Amino acid sequence: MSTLVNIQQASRTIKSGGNSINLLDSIDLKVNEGDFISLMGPSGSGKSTLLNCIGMLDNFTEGNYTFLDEPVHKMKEKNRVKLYQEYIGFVFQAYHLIDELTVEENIETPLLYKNVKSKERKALVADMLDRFNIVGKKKLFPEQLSGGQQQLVGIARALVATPKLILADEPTGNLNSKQSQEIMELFAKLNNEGVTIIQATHSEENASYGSRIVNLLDGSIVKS
Amino acid sequence: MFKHYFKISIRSLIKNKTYSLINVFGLTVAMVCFIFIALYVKFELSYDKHHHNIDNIYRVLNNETEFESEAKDVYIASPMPLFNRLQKDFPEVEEITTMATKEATLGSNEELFLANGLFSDENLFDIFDIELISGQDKKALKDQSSILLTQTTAKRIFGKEVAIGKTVSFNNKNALIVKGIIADAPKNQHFKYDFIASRNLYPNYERDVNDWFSCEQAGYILLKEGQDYKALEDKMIKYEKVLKPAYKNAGFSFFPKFTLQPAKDIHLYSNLDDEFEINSNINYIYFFSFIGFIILLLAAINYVNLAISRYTEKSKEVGIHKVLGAKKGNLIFKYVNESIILTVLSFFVAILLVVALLPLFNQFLGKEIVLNFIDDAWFLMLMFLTALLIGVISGIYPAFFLAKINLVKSLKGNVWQFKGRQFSLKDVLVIGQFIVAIGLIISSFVVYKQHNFLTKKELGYTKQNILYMPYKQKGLMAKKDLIRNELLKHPNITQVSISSQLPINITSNGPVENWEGNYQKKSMNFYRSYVDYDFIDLVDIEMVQGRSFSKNYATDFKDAYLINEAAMKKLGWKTAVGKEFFRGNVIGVVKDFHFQSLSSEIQPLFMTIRKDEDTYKGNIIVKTNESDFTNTKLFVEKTMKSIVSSEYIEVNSLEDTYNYFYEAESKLGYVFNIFAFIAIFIAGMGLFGLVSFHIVKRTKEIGIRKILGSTSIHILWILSKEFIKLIAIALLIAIPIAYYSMSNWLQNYAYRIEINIAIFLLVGAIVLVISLLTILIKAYKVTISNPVNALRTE
Repeated sequence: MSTLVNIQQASRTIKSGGNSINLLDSIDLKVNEGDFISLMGPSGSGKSTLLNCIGMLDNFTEGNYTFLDEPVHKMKEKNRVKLYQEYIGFVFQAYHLIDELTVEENIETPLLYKNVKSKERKALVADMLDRFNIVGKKKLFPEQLSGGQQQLVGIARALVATPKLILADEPTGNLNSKQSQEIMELFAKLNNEGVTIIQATHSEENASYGSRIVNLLDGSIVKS
Repeated sequence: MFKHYFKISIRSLIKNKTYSLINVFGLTVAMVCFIFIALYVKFELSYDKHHHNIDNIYRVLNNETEFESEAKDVYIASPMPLFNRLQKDFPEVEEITTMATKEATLGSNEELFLANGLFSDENLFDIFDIELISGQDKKALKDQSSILLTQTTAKRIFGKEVAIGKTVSFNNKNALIVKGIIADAPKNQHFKYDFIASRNLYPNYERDVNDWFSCEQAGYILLKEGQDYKALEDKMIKYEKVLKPAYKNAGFSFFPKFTLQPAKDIHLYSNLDDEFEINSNINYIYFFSFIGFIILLLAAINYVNLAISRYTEKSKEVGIHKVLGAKKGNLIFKYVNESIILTVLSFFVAILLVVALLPLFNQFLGKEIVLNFIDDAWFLMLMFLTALLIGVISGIYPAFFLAKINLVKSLKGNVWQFKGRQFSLKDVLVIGQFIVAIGLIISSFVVYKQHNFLTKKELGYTKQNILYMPYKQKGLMAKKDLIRNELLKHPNITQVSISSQLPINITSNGPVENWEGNYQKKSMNFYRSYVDYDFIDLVDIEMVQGRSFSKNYATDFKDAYLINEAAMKKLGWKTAVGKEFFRGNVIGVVKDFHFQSLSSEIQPLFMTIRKDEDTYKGNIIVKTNESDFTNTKLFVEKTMKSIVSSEYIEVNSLEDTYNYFYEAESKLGYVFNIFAFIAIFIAGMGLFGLVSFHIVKRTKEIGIRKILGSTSIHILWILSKEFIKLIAIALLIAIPIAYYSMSNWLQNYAYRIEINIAIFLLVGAIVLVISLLTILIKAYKVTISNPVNALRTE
């Protein structure tokens, strides 16, 4: 299996007031295609920061990060944006659906930004709606859906552009246990179909769906 | 992509109703004002532009110049023989026509009415574009048995019947045949008419046609392409050389000098004696355009302020779009698009409102401005582009700002962290907006007070209960005693004066070189009025020194002068009576009276008894002892007709004429107040919007404070104080600016109010009260709410 993400000795330091704070400290992490990794650790341990850095929404301030053998740390912002648009899908705890758009339109949005033709867009969105069994809800707005359904749409939207990697930050944080279970089962199923997933989670149960657990504490990976 | 954004924008507008309404309402009101002002400006600028020759048409002006002093009075009418020669003498004159207007009774059968007539010759149609509806135009003016009617006049006389070929009675004397129907006179043309007839029908035409001393007709020439009118003006000096001795020999005290005036400038730049109508002034155009842009600017600032207020909310949306792959360009496009949708929406609402309110606007301004969707397509297009531009301008800053924000933070919703006390751009804009609003309130206060001051100011003479008849007829003076005696027979008529000018508008002026104490032979400019023995008493001008003119002193007829206080002051005299002045001696000093617009300082003036040879034109002034003129007016008309055998007697009320003269000024003040009110209103709405969003942003903070035991009063104070600070800063900046510019403006008026501190205190108080009320209404709702709700935000 080929390596998707390779992080070596990467750190993220920010300045706050007069002090430097190490949010991430000398991280080494290798993610292969097909992995399903759970980042675990208490609040403030750096799970979200690491996820954001992997997703290129934030930068490591030191160290090397290669994505599909491309050195991300040397790239210009513009190329980085291209890279994550092409290969990465995000799922958020608060779903972050666009309130003014219907389910169908929400799923369509990433395709618009990738300049996919209208016909193809329609086909891809229809596929997604089918796959997630939400065809009946396609004309509804986010506020008309339950939390679990909203997250389903969030995942569908993350997947529609066929990314190689899904980054999920506490995807079930706002859901009840039954909804959580459904979402995690969906992740497991997607992983079986070949999608690489990295999730940040508090829950041991959620972590158990994954193939590997990475424990973080105060910005460093805890050796197990 | 556009469709996508359009959908988002529209749905977001519907969702945020308060925000959208404030914006659409503010933008709409501003655009309504702007479109009205643009329509007005366009209308004023369009005067006479429909004549395809307009750039080469010039009006001949008659500068009646005194021999002694070079004092000048400029008239639009010149002698007829001049017009008969101009074209022969100067090949560069392609065409020449004359115009004179007069009311006449028209009608057929029993129904008669007064109509405005334009008397001219066939060249009129070669120089000016006058639309012919049916029949003939040029030929009709060749013979004096024909008449051309406007559509409206034709309809009034003949209803639906065909008018051409029918006869119309003209002043109960001639029967004229209708030869053609012309379009109604365009409202944006400096001369108006209900009918056009041959100038031979104009009173005394036969007498005047070869008379170099009679001026009844205004001449218009069409210059050949590429000719310089100034050069022609210089050559026209040859007439002056001949006329100067001729006028002297005929016993006149003045002679004519002829100059040319571009016809396209008449409406906005010309304000001469006997204009066909009261013209406008280019300054009004500048003034209104300025206000229009200010209002538009206020609305745009409103938009920017409100948009920035929503950053917190919007930043999350930006984050999502960015994660989904939106580039910076996409986002800028998205947010500019949003403001454009708002402005375009407001534009269409504004157009509907303008169409609905246009009759009211016209009624108020006394104009007939039309907005035609086909003819004015370019104008509407321009307005639309302005709206788009406003959309882009007000959208672009928030758009760039949003597109730039940090992605990770925006998704967490904590873009706004407390960063110490520093001014944000939003604060600067709020301050800017309030500076404009406060400045406008102060200005409108000053304009209003100044205007009030002028209307209430004593003119120094009486304009009530006075009728007057202008006349222009040689030999009328021979009958002056008869006229006076006949008029005085009416029980309501108490006094009669026959004088050269009315006290409301004396324009004749020129230098005087001889007075007691003038050893260095200096020259001083004096206004002058030629009156009779009854004038001073009739219009109630007060004497401060000496006596008025009296028949008891034989010398008064020849060389007695009355001067005003301003003259005495300028001459440096303490007393004036008995002193040598001009061609005689001063017998008295009158209290200063306003013989010109109240905006100008009272100039030195002398009055002297009129010599009979100068009296071919002037005014017969009648004082009555009642304010209901109807009967007296009829009597005066009848009496005059019987004496002077002229059918054209126009009896006017002095007060009406006065109001007509100064109407424009008073309307301007009124319109200014309306616009200032609107500007304040828009600024207030912006404040309301800002406060709303400001409070929403601080809901959590208010909740925490309440839990910690804050009182409602304290919370209201915390919410208000930031705005109070901004308004206070705006006041501090606006007051000096307003003070400076209004002081400057008041310099235009010789008699003006003092800007006192009370105005500033009052305006400051008004602005603060309005703002605080807005804040309190909004803040009150939050302070009485349950803090638990406020803290449950996720």
